[in-house]
Amino acid sequence: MTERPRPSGQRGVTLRRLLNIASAAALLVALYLVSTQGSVKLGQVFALFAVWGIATVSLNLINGVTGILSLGHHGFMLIGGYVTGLLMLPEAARENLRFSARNSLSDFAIGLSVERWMSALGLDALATPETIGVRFVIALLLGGLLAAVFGLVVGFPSLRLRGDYLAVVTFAFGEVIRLLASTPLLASYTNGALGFAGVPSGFGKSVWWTFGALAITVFVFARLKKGSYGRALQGIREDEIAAEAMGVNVAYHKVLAFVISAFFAGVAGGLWVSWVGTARLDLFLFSLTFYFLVAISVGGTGSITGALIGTALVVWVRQYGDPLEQAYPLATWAGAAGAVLVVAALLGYLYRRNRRMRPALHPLAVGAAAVGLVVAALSLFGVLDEALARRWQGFGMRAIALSVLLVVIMVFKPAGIMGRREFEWTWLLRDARDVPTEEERRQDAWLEAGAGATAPRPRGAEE
Amino acid sequence: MTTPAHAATPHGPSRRGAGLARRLAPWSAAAVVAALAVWRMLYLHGVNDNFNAAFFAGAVVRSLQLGSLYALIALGYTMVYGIIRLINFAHGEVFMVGAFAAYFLFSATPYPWPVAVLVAAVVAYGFLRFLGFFRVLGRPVVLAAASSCFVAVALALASVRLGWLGAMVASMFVTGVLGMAIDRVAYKPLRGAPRNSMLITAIAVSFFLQNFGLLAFSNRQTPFRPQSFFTGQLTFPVAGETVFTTWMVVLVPAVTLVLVLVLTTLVTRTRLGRAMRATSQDAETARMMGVDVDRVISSTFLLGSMLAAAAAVMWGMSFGSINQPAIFGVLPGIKAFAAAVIGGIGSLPGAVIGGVLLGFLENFLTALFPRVGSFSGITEYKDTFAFLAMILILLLRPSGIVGEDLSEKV
Amino acid sequence: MRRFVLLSALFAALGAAAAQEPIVIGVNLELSGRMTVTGNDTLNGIRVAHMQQDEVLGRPIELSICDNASTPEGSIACANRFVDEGAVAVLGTYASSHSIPAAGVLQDAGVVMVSTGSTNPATTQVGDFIFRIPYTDQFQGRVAAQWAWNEGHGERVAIFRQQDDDYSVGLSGFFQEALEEMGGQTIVLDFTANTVDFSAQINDLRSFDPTMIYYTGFCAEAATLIPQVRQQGFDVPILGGDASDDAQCPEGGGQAFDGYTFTSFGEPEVLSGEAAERATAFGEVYREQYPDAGFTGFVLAGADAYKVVVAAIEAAGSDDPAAVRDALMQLENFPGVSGEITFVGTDGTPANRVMGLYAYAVADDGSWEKVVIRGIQLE
Repeated sequence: MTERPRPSGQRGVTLRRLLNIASAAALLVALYLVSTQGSVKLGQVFALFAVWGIATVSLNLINGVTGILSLGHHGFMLIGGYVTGLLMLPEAARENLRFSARNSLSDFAIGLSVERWMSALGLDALATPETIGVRFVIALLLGGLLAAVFGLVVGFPSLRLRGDYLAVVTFAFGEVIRLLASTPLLASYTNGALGFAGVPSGFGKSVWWTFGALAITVFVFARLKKGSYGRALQGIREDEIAAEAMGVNVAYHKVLAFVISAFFAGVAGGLWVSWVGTARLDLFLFSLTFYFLVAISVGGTGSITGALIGTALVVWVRQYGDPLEQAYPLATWAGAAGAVLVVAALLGYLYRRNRRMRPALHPLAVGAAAVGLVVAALSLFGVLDEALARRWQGFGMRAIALSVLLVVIMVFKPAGIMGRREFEWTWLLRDARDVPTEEERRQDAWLEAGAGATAPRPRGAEE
Repeated sequence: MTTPAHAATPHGPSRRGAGLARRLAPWSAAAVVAALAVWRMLYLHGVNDNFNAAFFAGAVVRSLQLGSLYALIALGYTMVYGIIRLINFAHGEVFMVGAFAAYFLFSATPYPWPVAVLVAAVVAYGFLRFLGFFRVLGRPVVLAAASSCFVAVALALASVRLGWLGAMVASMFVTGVLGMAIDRVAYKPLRGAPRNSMLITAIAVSFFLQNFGLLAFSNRQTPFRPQSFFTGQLTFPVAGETVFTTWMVVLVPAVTLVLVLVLTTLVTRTRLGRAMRATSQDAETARMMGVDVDRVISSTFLLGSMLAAAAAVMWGMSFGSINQPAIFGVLPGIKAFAAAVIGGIGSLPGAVIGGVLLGFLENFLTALFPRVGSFSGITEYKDTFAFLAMILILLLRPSGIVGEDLSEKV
Repeated sequence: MRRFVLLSALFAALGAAAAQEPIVIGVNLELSGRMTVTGNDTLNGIRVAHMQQDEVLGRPIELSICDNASTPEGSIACANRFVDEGAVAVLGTYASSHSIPAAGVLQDAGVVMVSTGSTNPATTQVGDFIFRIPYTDQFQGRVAAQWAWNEGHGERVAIFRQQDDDYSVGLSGFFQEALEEMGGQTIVLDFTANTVDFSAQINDLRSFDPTMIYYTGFCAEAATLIPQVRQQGFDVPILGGDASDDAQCPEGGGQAFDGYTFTSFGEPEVLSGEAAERATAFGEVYREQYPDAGFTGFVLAGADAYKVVVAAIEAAGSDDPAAVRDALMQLENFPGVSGEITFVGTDGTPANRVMGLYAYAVADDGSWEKVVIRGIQLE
């Protein structure tokens, strides 16, 4: 990793520290305002951002820093979520479950409760309603630990497999965990696919709890990334054999990356269950991992700041994107489709120009832009209003928008908004010249060589 | 160009005896498995009279039917992987589009003229591209063929009610063109990019198609019942008892067999096939030798997607209805991918063997361990078999069942 | 005098302004995703009821419609939206698995919720702000078991259960309990949402030799399951739960659904006395508005959810959710279109509901109709 120019001397350090403190204070004030002045939904969206942020940052340790594409994060979250949910279930909900026709929990599982343990251990002070927060922390940590154990299980194949084979195995593990959770094998702990309702939701929906957890996560991962461990991981990503030769214990580092990542995914799962208030299998579909992947790819693979930016974008689209899915007259939709055509033609033009393809303005793009402009103009001036007055609702538009965004990012800026960089005050303090990393230089070289027709051989094809 | 699979295959010259032993190993393993299965069947029959020869015969034909479906889908995964080393996550969604295209083709024909012309244009374009790959015909001949295809398809769509076969063929072309379009828009710009980027893009395309399908087609269960003799009931006696199935148990393996034969001929006998094999072995050298690599990749997507569409029609007819688009392609797609890995990804025979094997795992194995007495059966675990088998194969023998030496890379 | 006129004009204007401020009622339904058809049926019912009475206490009623996309996450997002919009009450959802998470949010925020389709007992146990229009699965399961036993099909019943759905698991559990009490034998065959190949489950069925099949899932899966069961030579009677009351069943499954029997919400034909008249009258208005849409029990449930909320606002004389809740708790023999509704002394589930027993008749060409057999009640 190349060192970036920093403001030199004591003055720069002090200034950075001051700025850090000031921004932390600003964040606290903002959170205070959100939790007291903001609407219910705003507070919950902030909390959701923090919960998904933890998951994204932890996934980024495997995907971005180590360079292994892991697709089983929803499985780790499931484990953490169910453990936390079961351990925190209030007594009343346990009694309800025990006598309900939809119960498949064993009596042993029903007895798994931090509260009961605390009473049994004689720690009555920790079994009161006031100390539920302490119990929640214990449950979260246990959930994280069990997820970490599974991280160990999933991490071992990473020693034998690499690349897309490994991606597929992580995916398979994630799905197998979810599928097994609904079978009789595990139903005595998970209550089948139904899970259990009534998990205390005060924590997952509180900005203080979730942002506190997020702060710890970011702190841990920033330290990991900066320290020798992070450098070893980055070494593995760049060149595994060279890293090995330099004395990095590749196996240990890879498996540990999975374990740490799984632990925090488990914590995120626990908070996610608390946010929803129920532990259910359909909270842990592969689409969850997909959204984290979008966040990482858009924000910047390997960058914590980028992961958070990406998460903010994803959460914002998911939570506030419902105007995209309302019923509008077909004329409006036609106009929007026209605008999309124009933008697509523009993107095509940019793409061809960057790759120095001739002609830069492909006839197809010209045609698309023309059609798009005409349709958009017709719709804007209300010509289509009568012919296309039927209303139509665009269900699924949010997911479509996010997946299109991901493809566009992958084609145009595969490194994401932040690349591998982190946010630094130097950007604001002085004109920070951006020294490209080795990876970025290679990327640039590839871009300049022109993809497609004259592409070099796929990197990583020789192993 | 070697794959990780190569690296992991045990190599080194083997002695003659070891070679013989290795050649016999799979057969002896198969024999042991068969003997165990027979023993289990006899045991079950002793427990309950309902587990008779007819019961197991029914399970075998249904396994073959399901396995053939998986095999057809798996071929698409394996071909694309063989050529550009990309796990085409969107293949399951291509399969979904194939099903819905066919549904609209047989259920809503005859079409009004504008629709017929539009579909015919797409079909003719696919036809044109397809003929173009052979390069043996002159340009005028190809153009003439494509325009006559256009006229014929447009006329047919606007006047005739399509049966399942017509709908299947038309859907194969429409879906094939979609496969090419996906490659052109999403994958081609990323040639040479890190493989993780390609994989993430493939996942994004898959999500896009799922939600686009939801938007464009329907968000409910769609009946898929073209007028056909084959969806009718078929009963035949085995050892004095009757097996109840439909004619689909005959049709699906037959269609699969025909398509696989056509594909094999294409790959081994034609210019295009030679170019494909050359590209899969070493794209760069193939390019230097004058192979139009982009065109080869395009044709791979075309062929793979066409097979997926055929599989989709067979799937819909087998089960009588198709799910809503957002989920229809997901599970079959992933399982077929697992089948491709089990068979040995990149290998055509591997995909077929893996697919059929998975069909037997899911269906025949559950018939061998049914719910009986206090034993509650293994049906609940059925969906995990594909994944567990894939994980096992990847850990024990990453090259899949059909090792390198046997396989024909495409 | 002149001043008085001016003053009264001013007051009138103020009053008009106050009257303009609408009362918001949220609608949280499955308008996309797996349960679209039922969600839209329910919404149509609510819309017609809203059309019939769109103001209360002199203020207009505004429906705020939110699609939960048939997901629990979407259901929570909708519930949060209504809390922010200051809704008095929320109607919906249809599925129990979406009602329960939403109920948690609304109970915490103190907003009244009236579920239009949730039959899982747990829904109304979330808290005192949560009500429902239908009966519970406990009730339905018992009714179904009694029918099976009395008709002589109850000896060995195979229950097909969608293991990842609250409703299906609950209904199977109560049915099993009731039938085993009567002396019947049962097995449960599990499948998950979106299964298409049921041959493994049918293999499991083979050794049991059932006298009846009870299907507790939804039509998306029934449309492929039932034909496969029939093709494999099982011609025993099949009974379904109210989720089978959906055009997707006969449309998707075709001929195999001929004779398929199911219990569901009461329709005009199975209701008696004044309730039947009200339902018929409502049906006429409904058909005028939505000539193409289905007229199912869910339409009536949606209409009644709206009607009880409006009646409660009127009785409370204010749009304060707590007052509306109290008024709902006092509701007795409310003349609903799905029968009389009484919340007095219940946990939010109306007492004495009437169910209908129906069957599908499917002709050779695939055309079908829903045949009303009779009303059915707990004995």
